[in-house]
Amino acid sequence: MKSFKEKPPSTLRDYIRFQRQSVLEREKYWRVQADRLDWIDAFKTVVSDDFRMPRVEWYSEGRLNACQNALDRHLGDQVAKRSAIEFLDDDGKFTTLSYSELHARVLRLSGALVSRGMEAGMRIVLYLPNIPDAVVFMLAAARLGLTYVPVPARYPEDLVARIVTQCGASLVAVGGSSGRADYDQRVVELSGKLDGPILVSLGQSNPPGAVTYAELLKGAGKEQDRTVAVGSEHPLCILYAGSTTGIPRGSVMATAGFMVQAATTHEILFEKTAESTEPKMQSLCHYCAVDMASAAGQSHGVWGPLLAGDTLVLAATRRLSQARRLDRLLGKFPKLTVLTTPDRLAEWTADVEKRPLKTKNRFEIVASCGGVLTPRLYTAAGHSLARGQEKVINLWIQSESGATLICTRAHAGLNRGGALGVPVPGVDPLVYTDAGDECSPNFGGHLAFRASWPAMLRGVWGQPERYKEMYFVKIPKAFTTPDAVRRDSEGFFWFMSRREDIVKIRGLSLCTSEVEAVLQAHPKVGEAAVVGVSSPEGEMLAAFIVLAASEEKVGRETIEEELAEAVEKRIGDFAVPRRIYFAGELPRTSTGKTARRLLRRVASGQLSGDEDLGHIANPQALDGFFSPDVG
Amino acid sequence: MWGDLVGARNDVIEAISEIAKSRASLLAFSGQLASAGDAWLQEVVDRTAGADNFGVTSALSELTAVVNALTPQVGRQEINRLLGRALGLGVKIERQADGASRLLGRLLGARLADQAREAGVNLLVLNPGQSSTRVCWIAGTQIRNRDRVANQPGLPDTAEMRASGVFKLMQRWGLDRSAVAGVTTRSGYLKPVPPGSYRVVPQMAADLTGTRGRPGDELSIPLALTVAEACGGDSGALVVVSDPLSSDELDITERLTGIAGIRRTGQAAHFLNHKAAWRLIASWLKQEPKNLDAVTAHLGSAGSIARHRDGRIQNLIDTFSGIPSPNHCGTIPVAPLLSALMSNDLNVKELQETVYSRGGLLSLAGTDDFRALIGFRRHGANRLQREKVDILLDFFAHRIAIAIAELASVGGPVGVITISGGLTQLEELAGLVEASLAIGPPLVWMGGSLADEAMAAGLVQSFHRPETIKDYVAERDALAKRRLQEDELLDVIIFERPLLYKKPGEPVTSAVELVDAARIAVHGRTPPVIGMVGADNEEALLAAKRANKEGRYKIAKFQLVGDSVAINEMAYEFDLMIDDDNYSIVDTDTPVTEAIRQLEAGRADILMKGNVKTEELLHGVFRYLKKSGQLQPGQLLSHVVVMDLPRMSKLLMITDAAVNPYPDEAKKVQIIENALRVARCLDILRPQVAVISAIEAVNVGIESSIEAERIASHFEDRDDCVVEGPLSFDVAVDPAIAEEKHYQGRIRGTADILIMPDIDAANVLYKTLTVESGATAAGVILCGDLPIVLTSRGDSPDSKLVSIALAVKIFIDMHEKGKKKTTQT
Repeated sequence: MKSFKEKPPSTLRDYIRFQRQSVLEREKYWRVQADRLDWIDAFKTVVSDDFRMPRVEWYSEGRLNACQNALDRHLGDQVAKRSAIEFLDDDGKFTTLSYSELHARVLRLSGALVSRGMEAGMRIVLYLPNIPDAVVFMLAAARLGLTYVPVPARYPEDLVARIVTQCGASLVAVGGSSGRADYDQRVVELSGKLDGPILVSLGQSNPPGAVTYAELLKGAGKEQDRTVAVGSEHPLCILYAGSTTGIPRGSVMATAGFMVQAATTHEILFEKTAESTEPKMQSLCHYCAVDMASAAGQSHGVWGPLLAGDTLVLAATRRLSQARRLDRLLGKFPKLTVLTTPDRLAEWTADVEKRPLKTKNRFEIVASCGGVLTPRLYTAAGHSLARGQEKVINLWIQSESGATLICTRAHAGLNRGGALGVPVPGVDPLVYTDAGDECSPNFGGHLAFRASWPAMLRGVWGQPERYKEMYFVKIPKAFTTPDAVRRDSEGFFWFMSRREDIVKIRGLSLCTSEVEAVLQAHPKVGEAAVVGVSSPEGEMLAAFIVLAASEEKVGRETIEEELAEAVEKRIGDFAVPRRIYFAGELPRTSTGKTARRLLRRVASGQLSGDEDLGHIANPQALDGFFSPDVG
Repeated sequence: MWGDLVGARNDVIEAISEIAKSRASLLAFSGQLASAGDAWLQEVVDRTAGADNFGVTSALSELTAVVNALTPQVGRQEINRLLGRALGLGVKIERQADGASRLLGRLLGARLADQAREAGVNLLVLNPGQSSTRVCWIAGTQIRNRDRVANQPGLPDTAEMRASGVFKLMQRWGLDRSAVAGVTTRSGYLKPVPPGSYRVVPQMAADLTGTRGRPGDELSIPLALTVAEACGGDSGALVVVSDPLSSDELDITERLTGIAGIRRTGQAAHFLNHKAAWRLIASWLKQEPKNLDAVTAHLGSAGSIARHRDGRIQNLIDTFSGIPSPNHCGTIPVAPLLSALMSNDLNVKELQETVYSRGGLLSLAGTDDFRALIGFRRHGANRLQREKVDILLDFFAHRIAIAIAELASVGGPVGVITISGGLTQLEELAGLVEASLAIGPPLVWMGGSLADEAMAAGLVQSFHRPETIKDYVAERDALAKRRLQEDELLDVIIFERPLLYKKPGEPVTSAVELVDAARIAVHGRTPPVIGMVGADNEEALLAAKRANKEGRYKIAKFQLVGDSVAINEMAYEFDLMIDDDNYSIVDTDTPVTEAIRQLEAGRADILMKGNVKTEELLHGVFRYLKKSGQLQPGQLLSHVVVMDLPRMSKLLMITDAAVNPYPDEAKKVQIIENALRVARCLDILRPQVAVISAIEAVNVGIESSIEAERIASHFEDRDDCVVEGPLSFDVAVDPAIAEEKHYQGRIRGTADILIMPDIDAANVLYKTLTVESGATAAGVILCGDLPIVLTSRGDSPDSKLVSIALAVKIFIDMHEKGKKKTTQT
């Protein structure tokens, strides 16, 4: 057996054995991985978790500084001269920041932030595209013990305003350094909506109520470097995801766990070996083509490469055609990996097919996350963007997980087209039926976890009850995800389905699982399923409710009102299901899965008399739905 | 080489002649043994009659010596016979002499017997019958006294009433109540438990059922408790029951009957007798009981025969499961019984009486008393009556002998057969039974019931070895649990739907048979792979799931060709196991092209339409078949639907309701050829093809009638089919109408295939039949040798399954035929 210090094996059999061992000795595995960081105070216990509460704590009593780990510790050696960030701007020109230059910038900004009264524990919102300054902001925040809140650049302004309010931010950084007009416009719009936090504009214009970046930096005092040692569980950042409507849901990331897992996973994903970290070698470069505000962007796009002393490559997203941009990047960096989404990958392969790449270079590794990587895309991308399809890997990561938990790896034995992959060491994903039993191989069920991992979210910012409702209720004592997967006999996980609908209501998207969680938590509800259906007025929600055994006799109208009130309070008025069906039981398959497709047909009135119900264990459940009043 | 063979042959001949020589001398000795043995046994009987203890002891030691000498020689008929008789005599003598204390000693084992004899404890055996109670007083290991207490006339029959009679008897015997340390009795029918001795507990009274067992059984436990309460000084007397009537050790295999819902139990009324007889003989043969495999029969007013193996009664035949008795019918052949019930010659109430009390000899001869029957035969019967009595006696003897032989024949050799109970007193019948069982292990006649002795032994053992007393509730629940586990195994579903055997080559006549035919065709070969084109289709996926329900009996493997994201999502909700064997996904955004690529590569055998347009699929397939030369010139794609109509006893095929809208004459001929090929796959030997029009005579005003005649003429010379037209639909499918209309053609209501004038007519007929008459329809498009499964949304789930089965059958038949052709050339 390999020791946990070594790189995980690259053949399937050995890897599975290594992985099993790491799960059996979870504490030991993650204690060894913690050596990847410099600690100011050593931690006492590795982990203490209890999903019943739920309570998760890693590396307790340890103290560290994330920025120091990503920057300062590289300054002593040759890495200091290496590029930390390479940025391809809209004009097709590269800007380079070495580790020492980046360090200087971070110091300057942190000085400026201190002089603006920023102190450890405050939140700053970063509404920035993938630009080097966004990284500078993150590092500066981490240096000062501020909690930064990256917000995806695609979010609309009013949602950002709500996030700013919800997390109680003291400063909001907006815009892009390349001076694009629409960013300036955003600053203007946002400044109208906000009252309180300092608004920093990274654009060129100087809208009223905002300070420009230059003004901010000018105010930097002559103070000494102020590096704050924070506790392991100190919130490093808050990642907002999920619905773009209602009360935003921000996953809180703990500093130590997030850093340890980002560093560990980076090595697994990008197959770092001892040679590739040799200073003499050309450094491995990582192109982050996902939004840095996503969990993948944070963990594997920014922190992973910086902790490893690698080069982070960013590119502006406009002007150049996809293929030309790839040509520029691959031409300049012969050893380049990329972190991207399947959608982006599909665009690239389509574009490259039309305009073949001029360079002979290809990505060392193409890592896909944030969507379903189909077998055909896997093959196509492997052919046109990498040297072989096994170099295209798939990552399972969500904001709540904080890091990749399941992935394929860039070895033929550890890669299968379309598979989610195998679990990373130290993490034990399981497949559960709705009844909470473990599924046999090849059988589809919920992806869930019985034990925590270092990077997992520590809470929903400001909404402790939602934290429990969303993740720990469906299967007792387990962290559940909305994903349905199967595990094959080799040990690979395959994505099958999302156990929720994403519904667009009034132009904004909403996950049905959020509404389901609220309904489920209501004391009078035994079971709830929410589906999205289209109606002439657009998409709407329909809820199917099985009342708790004691509530059968209570008037349905009062319960309907109570449920509506609960949803309105937690999420918002628009999320109240327009149709509520009450039933004795929900239709289930013989293995206990809620038949959501059937429910959707019920709600949209498409259920036909000669429906094939062969897979439904309790077809009589369908008789129980009495027709609701259409709201 | 030759030398060796000759040597071997000489050895054989020499061995045979030696055997012949020794057989001759053996025969002489056998005769001697038989006659000398009988004489000696008679002499022992005479000697022991009225003999004192010394005389009995010496006779017994003589018997023991002979038994010991015979035991190793068991196998030859005359030795077995003599051994059986010696044992029977030994048992008889021990039972009668010295209060049966030797017999009890054998049941208890030497050490326990010595201890009990020395302690000399007083115990009571209470055996309540219908109108009296038999009481046995055991002192030590001896039956000190036994008597019968008649119920007091006029008083209600209660435990107290019977107890007072018992107390009076004890007084008469001079047995003080306080001197009685233990009481035992018959158990009555409790819940099933393993045999053994049980402390009497209140739960037993609650579990007692009155449906089986003897009269008086329901009083036995209350009586024993009442008596015991008054006995044994302060702590009361010990009350146990041994080897209850409800004892059950039946082997799981023996619990089955020929009907899934009906199971046997191993309960019989005679466990005491079976266990006692077996233990006694084992003791005589100086064997551990569990090493003696035996068959013990107890034949009284009811009867049972038990097979002892590995110390357990693993199988058992009683009057409900085999042998007839004076008033039980035993097994009755089911078919005549059923017709008697159906023709009202017998009703259920009468049947119940026959089974429980009025069957057997009573039903056959009008008496339940063999003695009366045999007596009547001797005095008073006429010739015919005598003949019938002889037949009846033979019948009973045969049934008993057959049942004994049946139990002895399975599960290894049997060391001994014993018969106890009332039958042993009926010499004529006993002789017939013995004659019927002429060969086999030693047969021991044990005399009447051993129940009292067995109960006494059980009580003595319980008293001196209290640790052997079992806990009724625990044993009952444990056995119930084990039986439940067994039931789970026996309830395991093997085939959810009956899979019926059909002789190869017989025509398929129903949808169910079609599915079976496909399953049988698949049997022993790899199931064909169906490429589902556009598998992101709920209907098609559910049909595929149905086709391989839970993977138990596969008729096909499925390749799900289409968008993997959508397919996965549906597969999840439908519990479809994507195992890359029975179901695998081929991810593509061009399902038709990809499916044809799979065909070309030999990875798919059959196509099934999912979420793609029919024309798109057919165009793709057509191009592929032409390109690969699999389509002969002129051959076309056509749709055939095979219908199972509720009122028809065979399948009806209709074509073409889907692919060729308005085929001309030449195309129709090709459509017929395709339909004929499907008919051949259904093993329809000489398919009758009706070319349908509105009328059955050519009429110039009706275009289709003219065309029909011309089409039929194309097939005039063919002897592999009958093609006739024009025919109207009713004449083609209804023989009665054909006769009524005096139709003189060859197809008079017997058509297998209907060729419809155009797609409109065909489709209307097909839909009318499925919607209005609940027909099951299987649709397939035939393209050369390639079947394409085509189901429509309106089809019932069954129809979709049958469609898949049809395509599988067609594929395998054509494929096998193709193979044969190749091997011939």
